[in-house]
Parts: sequence; structure tokens; C-alpha cells
Amino acid sequence: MQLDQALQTFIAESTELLGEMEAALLALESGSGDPELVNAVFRAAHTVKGSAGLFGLDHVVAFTHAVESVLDRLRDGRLAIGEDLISLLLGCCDHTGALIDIVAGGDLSASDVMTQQAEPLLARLRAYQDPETTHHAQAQAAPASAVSPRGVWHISLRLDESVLRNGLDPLSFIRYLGTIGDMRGIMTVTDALPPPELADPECCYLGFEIGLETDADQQTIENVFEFLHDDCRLRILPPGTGRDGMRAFLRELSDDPARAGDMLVRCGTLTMQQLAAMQTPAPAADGVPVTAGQPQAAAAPRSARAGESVAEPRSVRIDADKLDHLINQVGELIIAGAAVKSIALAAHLTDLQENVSKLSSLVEDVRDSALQLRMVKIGATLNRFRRAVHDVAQELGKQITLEIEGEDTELDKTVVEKIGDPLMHLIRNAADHGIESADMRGARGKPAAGTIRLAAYHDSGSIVISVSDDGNGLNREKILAKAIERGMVQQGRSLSDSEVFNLIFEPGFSTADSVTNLSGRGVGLDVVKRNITALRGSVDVESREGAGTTFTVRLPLTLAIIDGFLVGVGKSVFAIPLDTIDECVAFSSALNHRYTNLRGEVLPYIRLRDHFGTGGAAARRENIVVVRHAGMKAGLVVDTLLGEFQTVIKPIGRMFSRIRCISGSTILGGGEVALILDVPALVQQVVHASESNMRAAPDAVAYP
Amino acid sequence: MCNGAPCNKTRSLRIEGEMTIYRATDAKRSLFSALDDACMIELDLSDVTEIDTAGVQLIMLAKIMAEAKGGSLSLAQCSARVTEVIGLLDLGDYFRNVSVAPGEMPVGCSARERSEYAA
Repeated sequence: MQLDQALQTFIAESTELLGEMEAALLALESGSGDPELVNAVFRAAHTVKGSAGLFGLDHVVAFTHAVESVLDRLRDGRLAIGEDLISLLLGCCDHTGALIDIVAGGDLSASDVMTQQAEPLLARLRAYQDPETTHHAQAQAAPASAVSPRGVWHISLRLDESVLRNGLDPLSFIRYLGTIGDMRGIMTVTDALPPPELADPECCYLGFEIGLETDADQQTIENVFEFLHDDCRLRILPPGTGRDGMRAFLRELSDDPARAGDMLVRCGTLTMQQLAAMQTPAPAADGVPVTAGQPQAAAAPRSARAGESVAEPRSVRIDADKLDHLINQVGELIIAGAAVKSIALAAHLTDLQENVSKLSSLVEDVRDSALQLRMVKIGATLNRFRRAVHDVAQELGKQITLEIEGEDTELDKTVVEKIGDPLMHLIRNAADHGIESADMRGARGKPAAGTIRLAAYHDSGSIVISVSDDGNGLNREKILAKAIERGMVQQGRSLSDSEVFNLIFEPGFSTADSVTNLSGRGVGLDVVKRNITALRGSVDVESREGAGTTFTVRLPLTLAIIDGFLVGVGKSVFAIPLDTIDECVAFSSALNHRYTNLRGEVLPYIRLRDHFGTGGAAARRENIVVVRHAGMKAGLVVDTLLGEFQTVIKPIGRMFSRIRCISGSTILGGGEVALILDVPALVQQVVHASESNMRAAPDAVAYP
Repeated sequence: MCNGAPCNKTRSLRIEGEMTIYRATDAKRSLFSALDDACMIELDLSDVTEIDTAGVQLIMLAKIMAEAKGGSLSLAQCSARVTEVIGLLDLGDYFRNVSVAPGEMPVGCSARERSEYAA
């Protein structure tokens, strides 16, 4: 384990912890009085501080320490949680995040800019600290948290042989211990050293006895050694331990209590007099027996922890690039497998075919597992928006609650990463334009607090994320007027509601009367749409005036490999994502119709031959593939149905990026290229064409 | 060679760069081979850039080995980093003739120890 790697882990973990801290703070704000939340916030700040100390990031330690001491008072109930305190702590959380970002950027030292930025936060924090701590904090850069009375603790540390190999250097923990108190003395214990010739230089045989004068509590001291927990035996003797406790401790320390006593004296834990007084048998009243149990308590958790760790979910951090590489390789494997399969079929060797089909089912399993590796729950992404909503609500002086549904819905990591910004925009949009002010809501008979709902669920091979609000809703007339004014729509043309509403995705379109900080400057929804389209997704809007607006974002589950269905049109082969296909039926229809009768249902269709201009005469027997997207059905007329195919999506070159209705390409077993149909675009086009045809039809009847 | 019987051959050994777990096996080999032909070892650690627990332990092992043979091991010169670590662990006495450069007080030891060093 290299230091660089350790630092990377620290950065990743700190970022996660700060995320948890933020989530807990927001939950506290929403009125949950769960004391566990305060503990979660405290733990996060504390762990970040502790780990930062290990890397010598003193400026991070100093800042988080100030935060921690306020949290500590909060935890003890000496402070009450309030809105002001929460927003201060959120600010501190952000600042810590900014400090970590700088560390991630490679700069491990404090910068003046950040120190200046921290100053107002620290000043506000001081108001929440008790006078004693405040004094302490000013006197020392990285002081100890004040809980218990100052005294000399004795810490006995025996390291396991494996500690160094596990990438831990006990020295750094001792160094860090120096920041929470004053080390009165330290002794290196070499009893366990084997004869030098036999000693393995990569094993650790040492132990340390340390006297530490501090006002920190036992938990704080134990936490210093948190990372060493599985690799050491730690005994802590609190100050003021009574005679019996002390004796038990000495007996535990060494077979020779006199020698152990000497060690304690050398470490400054005991004075000679105290030791002498202890060694003379005196039946007089003992010290506080309550504390006597503590050393054992300190030693006990080790075994308990070992048991716990078995039950904990085990995970490995993997570089995302490695995963992408694996998925690319699986993609190549599938293409190669398809080639073998087609050769096997051509060769008419039954044995070979049998084995090839066994192999391809294995390859399919490998594909699914590989893709599964990249699947992450969307919850973390959605929960990030709690903060955004909180901030926007404060800025606008509105009351907004965010409801999240379907946090466990999984989708590809690459999609998750890219969906954050567009969603953020939609949410801000909802908060800013959607939700009305409290007064207006009151006038409309709605509850004062507006609600934004985020919901995620799976639907036919895509993930659907909807952002809805119970606010204003879109004003159809206003949008239409604006569109006509801009020449986007001809006057007098009749448009469906959804057509009108979808105009808001056009570039430069904004109906906002006032431009706020957040949105309404006309840059936005078109960018949202473009970003989502780039992910092979689509976005739709529904609205009822006065009742609210719902944006529905649909995205493919993965960007890499899909189950496809191959169809032939003339000499060309197209792949259709299998998830979007409802059924395939033999086609029978008169020549120039746009509809067919599917078991009594009207089904608009399109001939792929005409649509893509592949040319050639239609085959005698045609088939129709019924595809579905966003609740709409359409038929695609093709010549032949060629069956299922593992489709590895290859991007098409930039030259073809403007071609509609094609979302990518794939390589077939024989090495030919097949284009992958963009079913959402096709369905929309088919349905749209048939709708406008319907509207045009009455005219045609009236004026033949 | 001076295996077994006490001798008074002195050898100085210079270690450069990192004295950490990553190089512990190599460092042990060179230290112990030096101990093969001399019992009095003077270690020059003035160019040691980093030292960790494994490094400290190794010097201790070499010292024990040298003393078992009737010889000794002394630290002739130490880099600031080594001095800091020795100060942190309060091993100055253990290695006895460690030289602390003026003004370079070991970090991490108590005020009491600092005054002792200054004295």
C-alpha cells in the first residue's frame, strides 16, 4: 500500500463521509429528532479529522476540530439544534469538502485563501463553543476536545506482527496522538523482539507505553487508534483509576508488576510517590471503582469487532477504468462468439454447435455480471438533491420538501454520472418556477410547503426518473404566445398540449417574467434536453395549470451492451433493442396506409425501407415489429426477422451524428455492420406523422 | 570475520534514502552483513529521508545483535527526520550518542523532554 493510494482512499472516504454528514444534517433540519443523526454527523466530522491527522493535514484537522467540538456539545445536549446552527454546519461541511478537494488536487498544505474563507465560519462556530474550549482553541492550533477533566492517561499499545505489512505505520498514530494532548513520556517495549537473526524485518515486534496528558475522553483516545484496531492490543488507563484498577492494569501489562510500575513512572503516568503508595498494602478506601472496569472495556471491543466485520458487507474499490476495460473486452468476446456461432452453423457440425451454444450462454452470463458490476443505486445521486432543494428554498424564501422514491433503482454508473446535472437543472427549475410563494399557495388553497417529488423506476429496458412539483403548472397560452412571437409556431396552427409544452425545450425559450439567480435566463431546458438525448434518452413534460408539472426523463439502463433483435430490410440488417419490442406479426396492409389493424387496435406504422431509403422492392412476405416507447406503440415494417443477437453498442462516427433514428452500430458475427435503431425517436416520428395526418384528413375530405 | 569472539573492529555504514518497510529486507541484509565483519558499527543516517516503525525496529535489532557479540552500534549522524522520530519515541537514551543538531528540537515530545534535550 502506497501513501498515494492511502491518500486517495482518504479522499474518497472523506467525500463519502461528508455526504453522509450533509444528509444527516438535512434530515435533522426536516425535523427528525433522532439522536442517531447527531451522532452520525459527529462521527463523520470526527473520522475526517482523525484520518486527516494521519496524513498530517493540520489545517483540515484544525478546522474539523472546531466543528467537532460544537458537535460534541450538541451530542451531549448542551446545545439545541436550530436552523441557524444547521446552516452553519452545512457551511462547515462544504468548507471541509473544499479543503479535501484541494488535497485531492495535490496541495497538502494550508492556503491563505481557504484560511480566510474559514474565518467567518470559525467565528460563528465560536459562538456555539463554551468559553473554556474557545480559549483552548485560540491558544492551540489543534487542541483536544474538552470533555473530561485534564489528567494523565496511560496508553499501552502492543502491535501485531502484521501491522506493517498491512500498510500501517504505528509512528503516525503516535504522532497524531501528540495532537490531542501532551505526551508526558513514551517507552518503546522490545520484549517481543526475537533474536536478531531470526527477526523478519517486515514484521513488527514492538510495543509502546505512553503517558498522555489530555482533557480528551476515552473514546477520543481510542479513536486515534481506530485504524489499528485489528492489528494491535490497546489498553487505556484513565486518570484517577483506583488502586485495584491500577493493580489489575499492571498485572495485565507485564508478569512483573514492579517492572510495569516502572514503565508507568517512566512515561510520566505515575509519580514515584504514587507508585510507592500503591505498592504498600493499604486497606484504606479505594479510588473510584467505577473507572476500574474501563481498561478491560477498552481491551474487550477487539474480539467483538472481529465478529462484526464478518457480517459487514464486504466490498472492494475498483478503478472505474478497469471496469470499463473489462466491459470492452466482454463486448469483443461477444462479437467473436457470434462469429464462431455463424461458422458453426455453416459447417453443420452438431457437436460444435452444441458447444458453441453452451459457450454463448456462458458469455451472456459473463456479460450480465460485468454489466451488473457497473450498476449502482441511484439513491446517492438523488439524495444529493436534498441539499440543492434546501439551498434554493432558503434563497427564495419558499418552503419546499423533497420526496424521493425508488432510491434502490439501479442503473449504469456512466449514466448516473452524467444525469446529475440535467436533473439538478430540472429540480432548480421546479423550485424556482414551479413552486409558488407561500402566500400564493395559501390563496390557492394548497399547503404552504410545496413538494417536489423525485421518483425513479424501471420501464421496458429504460430507467425513468420523474421530477414533479405541485406548483404553478405551465401556462399553455403564454407558451404558445411566446412561440408565435418568436416565429417558432405559425399563428392559427392547432397544437396538442404536449406539443405546446415541449416547446419549452427549444433553445432560447423562457417564459419567466423575472430572471432570478437560478434559472429563467433562457439557457437551460434546451441544454437539459440535449444532454439527455446524448445519453440516448428522452425527456417529456406534462402539466396541469395550477396543479403542477412533471418532467419525465427516460434513459437506457446501460450504454454498452444490450439484447438486440435483428431484422433485415433488403440487404441491410438493423438491430432493435429487444426490451422495446412488444411482438412481431406477419404484415398485411394495403399499400399506402399509415395504419394497420392489430387485433382491433389502430397501429401506426412505418416502412423502414422507405424511411431509410434502402431501395429495392418489398419482399413478398413482410413482417411488422411492434415496438413501444413511453406508452406509445408503433409498427416497423421489415422484410425478414433474423432473431436475437447480443448487441455490443459501438458509437457511430461524428460524421453521422446528425442522422436521426439511428443510435449506434454493432458488428455481426460475419463482420458486417448493423445499425441500431433509435426506437424512441422512431416511435415519436411515427406517432407524430400519423397524428398530423389525422388532423389533415378532415380537410382532405371537405375539399376533395 | 569476527563471528563469536568480541572484537574491536569498527565499521561505519551509511544508509541513504528511505528506511521503511519497503526497503526493510534490503536494509537488514546490509546492516547484518556489516555486522559480519565488524562489531562496532557507526551508522550514518544523515541522508535518510524517511524512517518508519520498521526502520526504527531494524536499528534496534542491529544494536541488539552488535551488543550480543560484545560490540556496539552508535548513530554517528542523523537526518532531521531520523532525529524527529527518535525524539518522538524518546529513544535518544536508548541509542545514547545520538546527536541532535542545535535548534532542531524533536517534535512530539513533551516540554519536560524538550528541556532535557536543551540542557
